[in-house]
Amino acid sequence: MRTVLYVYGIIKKDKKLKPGLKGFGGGVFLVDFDDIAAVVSSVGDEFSQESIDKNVKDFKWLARNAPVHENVVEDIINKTMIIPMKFCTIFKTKENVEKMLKGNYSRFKENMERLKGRVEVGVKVYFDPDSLKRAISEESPEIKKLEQEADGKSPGAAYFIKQKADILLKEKARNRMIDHSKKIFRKLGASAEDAKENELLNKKATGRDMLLNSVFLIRKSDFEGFKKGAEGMGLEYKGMSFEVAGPFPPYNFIE
Amino acid sequence: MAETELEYKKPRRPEERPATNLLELLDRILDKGVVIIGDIRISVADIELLKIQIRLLIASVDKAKEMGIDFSWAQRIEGSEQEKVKKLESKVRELESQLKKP
Repeated sequence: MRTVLYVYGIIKKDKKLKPGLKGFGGGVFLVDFDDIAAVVSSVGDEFSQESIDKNVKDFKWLARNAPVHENVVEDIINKTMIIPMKFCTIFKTKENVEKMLKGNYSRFKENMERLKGRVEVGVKVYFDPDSLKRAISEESPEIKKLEQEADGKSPGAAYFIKQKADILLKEKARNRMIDHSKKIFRKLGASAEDAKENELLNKKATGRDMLLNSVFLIRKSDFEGFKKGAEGMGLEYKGMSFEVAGPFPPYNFIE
Repeated sequence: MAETELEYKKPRRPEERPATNLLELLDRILDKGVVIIGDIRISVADIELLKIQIRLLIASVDKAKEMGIDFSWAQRIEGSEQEKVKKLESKVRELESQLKKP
């Protein structure tokens, strides 16, 4: 059986890694270059290119193995900064790992400095389109006027006027949504070191309407405060729900 | 300079993770992290496909939870769940063929 090297991430070599840390294969060890090291495990045929191409299509395989990867990363990051690799980043030889470390040395060092002691927090904001539309039609004189116009007209005429009102309502709702999203992102970002918006998840995927899908880079010590702030903000915005997740290793902020 | 102790949430055994946490984990570790291309890796096409599947599955898990059904990937999938999975699978096949188009 040919063994290859599964790489979980890159660390600075100033901490001794506890021997016997569990992961894939036999256990976790280091491949060094200068003052950094790759955290690796020796793995076999299950992680050959052919096997991986097959295994990633099997959700049960993913369910078993993704947590193994993440547990190693999270275990290490509780002790020292680790730059996480993507799931299933594998090298055929120790020499190739060393080459990779050498070729990316300054990038790794820069990331380690910038991300030391930092965590990532995810904030997803969902909204209820009906609440939003209701609020807008109650506040908008233009829409109220159109609705009054429609009353007492023949069904045909009323239909056209209501269509107008509906289009106007949709446009205002969309603008309001974009407005809220920008404001919330800006407000939360003000108490973070870095912030990123990820693509909104489609309603077909989540069953709900998403307003904002964002991640924030903060100091570990600021996590509780940030979380409270985000949840507090959620209470201020009626018809919206804020979901705060984390803390996570800063996967989104690696450059 | 002393390292600050970082207390991330304690890793849990795979079978203890609720399904949505698993899906969000996959979403995160599949294409986030440092951009280093290994000798062996998950292909870009497979990653894109997985991301689509994950999003569909997140919907199914949430809906199932709403209806009070326990939906666990580590355990057997029950009757009505199998129907849902079949529907998702055919949707995914549809998406796959769309992806294959030039």
